[in-house]
Amino acid sequence: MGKNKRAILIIAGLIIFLIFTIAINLVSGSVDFTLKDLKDILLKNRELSTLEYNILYKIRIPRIVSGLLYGGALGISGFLLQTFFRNPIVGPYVLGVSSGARFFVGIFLLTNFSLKVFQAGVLGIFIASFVGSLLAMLLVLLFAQKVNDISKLVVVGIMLGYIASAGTNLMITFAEYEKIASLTLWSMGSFSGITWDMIKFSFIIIIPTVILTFLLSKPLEGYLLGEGYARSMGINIKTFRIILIALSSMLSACVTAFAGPISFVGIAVPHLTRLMMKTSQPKVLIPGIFLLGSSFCLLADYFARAIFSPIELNISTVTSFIGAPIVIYMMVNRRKVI
Amino acid sequence: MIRRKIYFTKLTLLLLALAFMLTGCKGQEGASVNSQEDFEEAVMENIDEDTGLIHIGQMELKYAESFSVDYYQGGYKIITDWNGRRTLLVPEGKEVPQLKADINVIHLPIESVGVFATTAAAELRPLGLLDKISLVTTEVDDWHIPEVKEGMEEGRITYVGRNSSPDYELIQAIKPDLVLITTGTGHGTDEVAAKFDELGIKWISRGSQRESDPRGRLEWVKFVGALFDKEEEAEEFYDAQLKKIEEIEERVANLEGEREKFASFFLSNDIYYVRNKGDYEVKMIELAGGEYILSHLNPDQDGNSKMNAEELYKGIEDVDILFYNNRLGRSIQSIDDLIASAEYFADIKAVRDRRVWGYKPHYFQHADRVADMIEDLYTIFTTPHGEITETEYFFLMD
Repeated sequence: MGKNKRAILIIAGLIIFLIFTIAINLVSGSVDFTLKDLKDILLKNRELSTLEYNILYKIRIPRIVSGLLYGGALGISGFLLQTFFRNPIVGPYVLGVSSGARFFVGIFLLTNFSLKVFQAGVLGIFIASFVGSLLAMLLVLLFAQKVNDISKLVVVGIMLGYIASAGTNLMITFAEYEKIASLTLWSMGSFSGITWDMIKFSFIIIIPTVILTFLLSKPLEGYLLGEGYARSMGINIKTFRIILIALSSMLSACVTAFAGPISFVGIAVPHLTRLMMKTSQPKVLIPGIFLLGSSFCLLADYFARAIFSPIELNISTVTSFIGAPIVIYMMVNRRKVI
Repeated sequence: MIRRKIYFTKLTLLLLALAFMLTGCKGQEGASVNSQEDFEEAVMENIDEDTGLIHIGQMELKYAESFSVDYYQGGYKIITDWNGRRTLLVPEGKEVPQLKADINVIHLPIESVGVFATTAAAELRPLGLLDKISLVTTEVDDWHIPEVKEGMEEGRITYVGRNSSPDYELIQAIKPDLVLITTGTGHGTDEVAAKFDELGIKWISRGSQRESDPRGRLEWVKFVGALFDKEEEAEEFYDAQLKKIEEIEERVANLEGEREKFASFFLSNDIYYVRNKGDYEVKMIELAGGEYILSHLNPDQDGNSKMNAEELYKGIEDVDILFYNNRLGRSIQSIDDLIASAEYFADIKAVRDRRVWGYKPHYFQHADRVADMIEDLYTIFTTPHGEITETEYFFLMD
């Protein structure tokens, strides 16, 4: 089978899988809707009660949209970093993004330190997380300009993560008993309680970033073929690397801000997509990764809320249970597909 | 009745002020005071900017500092929570006034309430309101309030998941008139409140845990009283409890000899959380006749301070009675467990004398029984050691 035909088939399969995950999230919950109900609602053959309207439009759909956006964003973020490092085992949080976010959320939750911007009610935690993620990213960018060796940059990123974690642990040491639980809760990530306002903000960041990434498919392909080849294409390697990190961090910072750190999606999804599509062409991989990332998160979210309903599992608990075996598989059967 | 009383008091005051202004005008030669304007000004001063309602009084609070209740003409009330969020309670049959600010509006009567903390249920109990609970975030096995347990078993009360990520669909289906939620703790409930706003689910933030005086915590029953138009019952209950506490205080004042020294702490993740001198629980035990051995430990702060075993041992070596909160630090349930956590604890006076008291499982769900708890503690301090091994809320550890 030709590579293109295979890619088209897989993309079509992923779209069907995504529709399936959307459908199971739409129909299942405390109030059940059948597929026929959904069809009737879509065709306006059925009037919705206020309860049904609220459940569908204010609870399930925002949650589905967030799973779709955040899953896709994490997948693309991971793909960009794996491309950058030419290593399939790196994820969006390897450069200290989540540690930076956790550190800043820690300042917000664990200490009595207060800034006007942090007092913006429920938005405080999102602002803290976003600022933390972006500052971590800026530090890495600063080092990226000085360090040419990619493996050294990974080490720098990991070290920055350690410093941020140490800072958080320092705050934990002095924090009150009740406050530590809050940070732990945030650190596990969840799509619960996502509002349309959060989605609007995420949409503005994620969609243009993903489109920009897709538009960079050609230089990305050139970069994958080696720096020499990329240079021959007229790509400024240093600038291009900075763009890669900036795009990746922007995506993961946005997800972390609204849903907390979600593990494994960024590592597992790009690699799994490559294995399925048997290609490294970014123009094919990017849509595939976005679709699989979205489906993966939606499926994980379905399990998170359905397994022990009404108790909800944290999203990372489920993504890790599914993601970790995939990473092990990757380690054991590592193929040179990048 | 109370509201009517407040209304008449306020009206009398207004009339008196008017009379004073009128006579004052006569007395002040050359002063050009327009009495009508002054009267209008006096009335204007009492008009709430956000609602346009005329203020007629405020709930009297003796110890609570984290909420206030203001009364307005027409039976309207405004509750202001610890965060400054205002909730307008609209009496049955009355319209919502034209609002000039974003203000939370709740229509009375409240027939169905969601409870996001067990202490909230305890605050409903003395007013006979437990039958109003329709949803909770504590599982049936963890309840020690029989009415709630029974309600859950019979299906009248629904468990809706954890309070940080509840099942919004279930809550939406139950559609309570109000959810009592504890915000500002960072336990994810602020996000829940934001989602409630989007869903149009009415909520109000309770915060008895913010009070550093046990009598202030108890006074939150008046907050519930205001929500359910049961101010009189709430005040009666509170005054009776306060009287009971004052009687204990009197008995303590008449005690002869030196007061016994106590300490209170729990162990979690290898860290000892020791009650600050300014904490509500320390005050509660002090009211019962104890003297806190760590009197220097943050006298102005509520909550706990972290300590390692050595530091704690140094501070409490000569303590007469230990209160170990085995509900919060569950790894220790006996004196042997305590000694296992640090061998040298065996040399602490209270441990040597085996005077270590633990907390019974229903302790935290009896926030409305503070006076009884203080009575229990008084019994512990005044009964010769060995004569009792348990009280209603505490037990002597083996």
